[in-house]
Parts: sequence; C-alpha cells; structure tokens
Amino acid sequence: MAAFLAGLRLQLWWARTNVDELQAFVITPLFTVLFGAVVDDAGRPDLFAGAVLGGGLIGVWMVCVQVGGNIIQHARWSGTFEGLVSTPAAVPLVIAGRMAVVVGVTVLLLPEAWLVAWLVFGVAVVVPHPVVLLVALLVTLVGLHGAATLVAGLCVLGRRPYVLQLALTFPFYLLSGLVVPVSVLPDWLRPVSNLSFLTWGAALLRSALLPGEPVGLDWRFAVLAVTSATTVSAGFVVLLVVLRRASIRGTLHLV
Amino acid sequence: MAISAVGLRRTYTRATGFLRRERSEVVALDGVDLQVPTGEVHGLLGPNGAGKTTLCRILATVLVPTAGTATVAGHDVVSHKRRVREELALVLGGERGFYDRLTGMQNLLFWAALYGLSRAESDRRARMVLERVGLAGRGEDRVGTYSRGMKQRLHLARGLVAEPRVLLLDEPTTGMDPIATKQFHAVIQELCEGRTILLATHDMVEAEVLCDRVSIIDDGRIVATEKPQTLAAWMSRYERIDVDGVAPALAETLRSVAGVGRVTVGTDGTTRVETTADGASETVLRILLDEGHTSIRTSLPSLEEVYLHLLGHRDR
Repeated sequence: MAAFLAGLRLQLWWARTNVDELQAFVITPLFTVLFGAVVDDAGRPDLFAGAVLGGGLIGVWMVCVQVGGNIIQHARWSGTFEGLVSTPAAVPLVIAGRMAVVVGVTVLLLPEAWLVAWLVFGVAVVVPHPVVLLVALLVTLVGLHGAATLVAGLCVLGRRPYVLQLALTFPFYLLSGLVVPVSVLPDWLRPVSNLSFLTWGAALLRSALLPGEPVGLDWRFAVLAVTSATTVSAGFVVLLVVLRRASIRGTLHLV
Repeated sequence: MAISAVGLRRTYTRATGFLRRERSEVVALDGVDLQVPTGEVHGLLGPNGAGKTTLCRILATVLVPTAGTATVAGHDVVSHKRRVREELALVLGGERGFYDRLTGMQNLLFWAALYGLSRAESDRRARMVLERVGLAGRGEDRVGTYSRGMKQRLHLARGLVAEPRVLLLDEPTTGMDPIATKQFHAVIQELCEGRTILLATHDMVEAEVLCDRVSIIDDGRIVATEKPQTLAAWMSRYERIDVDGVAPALAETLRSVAGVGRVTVGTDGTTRVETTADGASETVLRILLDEGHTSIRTSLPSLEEVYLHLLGHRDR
C-alpha cells in the first residue's frame, strides 16, 4: 500500500507541473463539437448524448494511452527507473498508484464534454440512469487503468514507441464504438470489438444517458467486469514480464 | 562481508543487420571476484567501459548477471533481491535520475516512501539530509533549476535518506569542477562514516582521498586490489618530466639513468622523460638543474598510462 500511495503522490505532484499532459482537455472539446455537429446536422437529436459521450471517451482513452503509456518510458529516459527498481518497493504498485491518478483525472473530461455541448449547441445532457452511469464509469475506469498499464509495459519493448501509441488511438475509437456504433462494423470485426472492455463500458454509459429502461444490465455489467479484470491482469503480467526482460537485457535505463 | 562477488560474469548480445541478423557477444564483466568487508570504503577504479557501472548495477539488483554469484549484506542479488534492496542505495552520478519538475524535497520524500518510511519520518529525514549536503535553502526549488554540483549532492542525499548499510556510488563527481569536487569529497567523508561504500570512479585522486582499499578493474576483470598508498606510489613511479631545449648529448645521458623508461622529443622541441621506478624523477631533475635547465614541468601519468604499465602494455 505504501508503494501505491508513493506512486499516487508522485503523480499528483507531477501532474501539477506538467500542463502539457493535459492536452486532452483541449482536444476533447474539438471532438465534442465535431460529433455534436454531425448528429445535429443529420437531425438526430436522439444520438446527441451518445455523440457527446464519444467525444469525452476519446479524450479519456487518449490520456490513458499517451500519458499513462509514457510513464515508464519517461522514467527510463530520465534515469529514474533504475533507481526505482533498486528500492524495496514493488514497482508494479508504484506504477499502479501513478496510473490511478492519470485515469482518475480523465473523469473530468466527461463533464467538460457535456459543458461544451451545452455551450455550443444549447443542449444539456441529462442522465436518466445515474446509478448505471456511475457503476459503468467506475468499472470502465478500472479497465482503463489496466489498459494504460498494458500500454506502459509494451512501450518498454522499444526505445521510441510512439508509433505503437498512435496505432492504439484511432483504431480503438472505431473498434469500441466511440465514433460510430459497433453495429456498423463488418460482421467479422464485431467479435474483436466485443473483446474490448471499452466497447461494453461505452455501451453501458450510452444506455445510462438514454430515456428508455436499459435492458440486459446484469450480463452486460458482468461482461464489462470480466473484460476489465482481464485487461488489468494482462497489464500487470506484461509489466512483470517486461521488467524481468529489461533486467536481463540491461535496458531498464535508456541513454 | 558486506559485498561479495565470485566469478561474476555479464555479457550482452549485440545484434546487427536487418534481414540477416548477426549476433555477437560483448563481455562487460569477465569473472569478477571482489570482497568488501563491512565498514570499508572500497574504490572501483577503471576507465570508461571497464565494467564499473555494470558491477554496480548487478549489486543493486537492477541487472541480472550471466554467471557467478554476488551478495550484499549476505543476501544473494538474484534470489533475494528485496532483502538486498532494503540494505543498499544506488547513487548514480550525472544530471539524470530525478524528476526535474519536482522540488528537491519532493524527490526525497518520494524515494523515502519507497523504502517504506512513514510520511513524518520521510519528512524528518529528507530535511536532515538536505541540511547535511548543504541544500537546505534550495529544498523547495525545482531540481531542474539546480546546478550540476547541487544535483550530485541531491543524488547523495537520495542515497542517504533511507539510511542504508551499503552505498553504491557510481561516478558521483562526474563533470564537477575541482572546487565542487573537493567539497563533495568532504561531504561524502562526513556523511558516509560507518557505512560500507563501493565507489566506482575513474579518478585516481578521488580514490586515494576517499577509499580504504581500491580495486582496479579493466576489461571486466579485477586486475589488482591495493591500498591507495600503493596507487600513489605507482603514480609517482610513472612520472613525466617535460623540458625545453635539451641537447642530444644530454638526452642520451638521461636515457642511461636507471628507472628512465623513455626519452622522446616532440615536434615543438620539448623533450619528455618518462620514469618507471621510484626515485628516478629526482635523479633526472637534478641532472637537468645541474645543466642549467629551469623550464621544467612535471606531471603525473593518466590512469590509462598507469594501466598500460600495470597491465604490461597489452593491447587495449
């Protein structure tokens, strides 16, 4: 727990001094306006809440991949990672503490997207099912924490993994139904989409914003929980494997 | 023994080519044997690429050895990493190794927390070590605003904040000017008393000032382990004397002096006399003064030159 809290506190200090890591707060309004304008122009007010949510979730995912994914890589370049590994603290817990802050801050992107929608289009997003929204958001954040850890671990495999981080942005927006509904994806791609916790999380969050009673909440939440837990497990396994690999190869630091 | 290494070997695989990958093995450590008793300040002296940092990294458990065994405070660095990490701190030199946008105090609080210290205890120790390394007035400033010497002192503070029994100092004065280096040596002598220290350096003077014993490492092997006084003797033995305007006959006389290794004349006319034995430089100086030469300069050999003498002129 001490290691987790140490990581958490470090990231809080770090976030306060690194404004450039808050770029998503600039980009999210752009996506929000873009998606809102598309459904507005199409005369589909029923899709408006989902479109605004998509803009917010894109920002959330972007922060997890870019900021979370860079945590270890930055530490390797700055020479702090070797020092961290040489302490008695469990490195995955320190990373988990840092990721918790990264993912936690992204929550603010959703109200930001709603605020922009209200200011630009004059439409207030209402939440008919706040409990569904809250639970779906919490479980999705757990999955995002795992995804960010997974990306951070994978980034250790290369010296400059920007291409990997880039590849994990737009394809995931499409695959998880953040830009267009998953139903418009080709049949063969839908099973892949269903493997992503973000698909289930986004769908449940959309359901929480629609006026009708959501259906199949039990099994949909179960699938979200399983896919999120799987992502968290995969993140930690990858992290442990790459840490061991880096210790053997002598690549905990980069010069 | 606080630190023990037996037959420690570390190799790296280097791959070249894209379609046809060719792999070659680079030996960083080649069977290192080292014993450092508790409480000793032990120098690890060698040129760049000799294997000093690799050895420090293995002892700090951040690098896995290819073969051999090593223990710190009796704990194996491979099978009991956590126990080793509780006993030591790795202090790397240079300007890297900190969160530059955080303050010195925040950096220290983070590192203290990693050793499981409570918030209050971390705070107390961080303030104490900042005071002792002379950074008390700059603790609330961002590390990015620190000079190189201040960062080096912060490195040392980081190493001491958890009060480890064993300190690994890897090139702690790299890039510092002579005055800052001297001050830093005084800080190390004051703060590290009672601890076991392995000091990796390429600076013979630093090793002589700080260390109880010194191991010379070259090409991944420990060549010799001696007291610093022995090193000093090597340095004085291999002295260099430069003098202008030496006549050919006098040069011949100097060549015949016992303990003179070489007499060479540079393109600018300067004659260089290199000695290889104790007392030879005094004899040479006396001869030169008797012949009326007053423009004489003496200098100590570089570490590499001492190595060449020590290692028998083998290819490097």
